Amino acid sequence: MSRIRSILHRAGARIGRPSSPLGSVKYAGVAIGLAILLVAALAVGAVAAATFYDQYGAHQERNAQAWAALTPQYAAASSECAQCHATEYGKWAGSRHIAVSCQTCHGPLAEHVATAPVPESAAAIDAAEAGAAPAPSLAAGVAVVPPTDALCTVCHQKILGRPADFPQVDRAIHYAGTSCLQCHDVHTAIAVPPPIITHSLVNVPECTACHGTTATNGVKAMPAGHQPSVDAICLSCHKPKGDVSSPGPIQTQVP
Amino acid sequence: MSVSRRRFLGTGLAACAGVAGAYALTSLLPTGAVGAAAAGDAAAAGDAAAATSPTPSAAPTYDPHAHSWAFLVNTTRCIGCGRCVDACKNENNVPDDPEYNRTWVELHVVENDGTVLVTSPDGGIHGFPPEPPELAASGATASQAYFVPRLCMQCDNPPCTSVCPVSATYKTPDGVVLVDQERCIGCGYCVLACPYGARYIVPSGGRMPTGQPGVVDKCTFCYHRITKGMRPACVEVCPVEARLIGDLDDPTDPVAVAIRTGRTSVMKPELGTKPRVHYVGIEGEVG
Repeated sequence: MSRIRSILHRAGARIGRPSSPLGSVKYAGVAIGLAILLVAALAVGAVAAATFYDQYGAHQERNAQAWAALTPQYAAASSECAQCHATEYGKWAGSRHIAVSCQTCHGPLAEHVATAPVPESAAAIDAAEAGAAPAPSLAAGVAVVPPTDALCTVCHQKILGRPADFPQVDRAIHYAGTSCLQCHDVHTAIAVPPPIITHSLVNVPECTACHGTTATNGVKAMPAGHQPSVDAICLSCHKPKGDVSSPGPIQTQVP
Repeated sequence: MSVSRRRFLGTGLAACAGVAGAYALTSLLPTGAVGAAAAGDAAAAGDAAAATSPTPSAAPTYDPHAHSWAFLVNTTRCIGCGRCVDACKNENNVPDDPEYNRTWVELHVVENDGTVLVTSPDGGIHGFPPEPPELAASGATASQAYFVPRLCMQCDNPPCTSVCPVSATYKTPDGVVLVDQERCIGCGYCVLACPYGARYIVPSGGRMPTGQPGVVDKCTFCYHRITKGMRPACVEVCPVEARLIGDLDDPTDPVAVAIRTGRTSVMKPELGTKPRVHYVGIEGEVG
């Protein structure tokens, strides 16, 4: 402080004698020093002001970019699945289920791609999907939801509130106890029932509730010569193969 | 070297004017220019992340001023399968607990006497029973029933941003309301201010959207997807096209056309919140 005061004092003392060469040099030095200090203070102030007054906008913009930078889990389109699963994708692409994304049933693609082993060939994938060969991917714990009846009924079970024009069935009377996949190909969405559909005989309504005199919901009607009757009468001829109380599918047959 | 008083004052004044001018110029720059530098940094960070990630993790070419996002929910198509709720949780790391949802599905049952029963078991993530047990218990019959998917309305006049004491929640130029979860203090004012119940406070443990507990979270329209040209996860998995995203800045966008031509309605319009989520087929009592 005393040094600054002495500098100022000396500078002030020189003002009255500007012709002195030595005094001019000192005076110029002080002036340049002050100018540098002023410039530095202004620069620091400008930077501080820029970050302070813009803060409310700037932090939000940075945060929006941080949200935007997160990594998606679901692929943008089902076509990405076609790179490996061309056969099933081809069936699906021409089906009524075209509006249903692969990931709607099978879950997010990202995890699957990250954990799936590199497939040997498209043929190997097709064989595994057809059940002809063990699926190496499933053994490796690939996160793809395998098709189950629950996935069908989450959309197609008849419930209150579902639009009337949406295809839906009451599973309690629509082949109860039988897998949906026994008749339906989920990728083509075409029902191709086998000649005989095996189904459980427990926890189902009366035989005639489904097998009426006319075919309803695609369920086979009773033959023309039959009269509607109680289960005991039906089962006297249509013997169950196996234990009627077992929860598994039981095929009925006429002896 | 000799300096005259005139020269000293002249040079000093010029220097000061120069500094002041330079500062004035930086003040005149749009905030976007400052942000652009930050965007460059973010893009560089994103590229570093992309090296270890299978998908691009930044959208450096995205211009938020060139889009205006809106959402259309068609309740006449919704089948209440709950795939959207499931996809949202997977995509955004939303807590598994059914009380915490960025989106959920409600079943609205209008009973014969006009009362409305609203149910949403587990947010609808597992679908719905054939009939709500509450309806059977009351003995009433349904005259009308439909599903109503719910999400943040991304209001243009959002009550939530007004009440935030730390300006952690804000509106983006493209119309989305976001929460800065590093700035959020978890006071919950916005949760109470939202008339649509769209916000929740992230519980600790389990899945957390940004790994941060005790902060507010909500639907972002899948901001990380729409900024990359992808649809939100719920829209991607909806099997009946009951949920659609659209860009109001694109005059040919079907959602923009539907909203512009007035064939849609919004929830609680009397509040003046100006939601960006529009509905087809909701009745007056929905909200």
